[in-house]
Amino acid sequence: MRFINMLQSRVNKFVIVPFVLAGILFICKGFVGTDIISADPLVGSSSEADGPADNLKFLFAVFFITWVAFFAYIFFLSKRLSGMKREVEELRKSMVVSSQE
Amino acid sequence: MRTALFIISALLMLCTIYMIFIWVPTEQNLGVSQRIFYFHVPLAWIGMVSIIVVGVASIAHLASGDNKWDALAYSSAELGVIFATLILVTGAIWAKPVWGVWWSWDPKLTTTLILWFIYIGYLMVRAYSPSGSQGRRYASVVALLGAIDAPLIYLASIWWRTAHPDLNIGPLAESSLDSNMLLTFVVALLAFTSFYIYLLWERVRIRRVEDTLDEVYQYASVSS
Repeated sequence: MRFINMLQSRVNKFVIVPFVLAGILFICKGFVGTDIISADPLVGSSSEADGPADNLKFLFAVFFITWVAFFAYIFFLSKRLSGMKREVEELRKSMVVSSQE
Repeated sequence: MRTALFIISALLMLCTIYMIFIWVPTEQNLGVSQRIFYFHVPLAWIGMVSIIVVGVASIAHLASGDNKWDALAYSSAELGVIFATLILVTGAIWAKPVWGVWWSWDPKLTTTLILWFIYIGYLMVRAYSPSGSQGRRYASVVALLGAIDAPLIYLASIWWRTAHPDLNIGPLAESSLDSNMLLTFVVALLAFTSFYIYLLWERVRIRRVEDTLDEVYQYASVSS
């Protein structure tokens, strides 16, 4: 749980968003076949476009999606953990209040 | 122990990424897209192992009534959904350059899709059935039915005519991989397996705390 705690405390989840968006943009660019970032017409219509090297985008997509899923799950676990810590704190406070009464 | 497992997983993952992208030779027929194999097959392996863990833990829970087995089954099912989703997504991405389509109703693909629905069904039963031992028992029965699907997926390419490649893992494996490819595959398999065990360990711990909190709330509501 140390790794999940570390993520929870040190990494702001909004830092991840630009990386995820960049990856999605990269994948979409590869699959759609239109060049969004560069306007150079030679890039999209090179002779390599139909060759084996063109399949690199599929490999990248698999790698990217796999790791996004893993990190999303780890963030889900860290959210669960923080929710439970909050609940335990509330229970502790309510116990203190009830014991004082 | 958990920290050691995490470090081992991370090192193996780095090693796997290096081997897949830089070290392993490119397959002549399929080209670069064949490297998806080193992600897809370990994910499929974990997806099947996960449902077997859910099934075995459910049997243990039904036999003993011990909630620690239920926590293991639930945690493995939750991880199983992620891995089963990744099997289908990575499989579709690999199918496109190789078969020319994203999806076909191939026996192996169809039985894997059924596995995904079983995982979803298990979690839905857990979410919507009454809390307490009754819901756990219902879900255990769903898990037992789901565990039957694992050998069906494994044997699909033997029993039925399929476009899916031969088995690469397990007792009936027929693969003839190059030694470098085989080494990369084994390292990837170890990396994903150790990562699965680490995630499962963490999830079981969280699940047990959740169960304890539920018991505290139930006790508080009864006593008040």
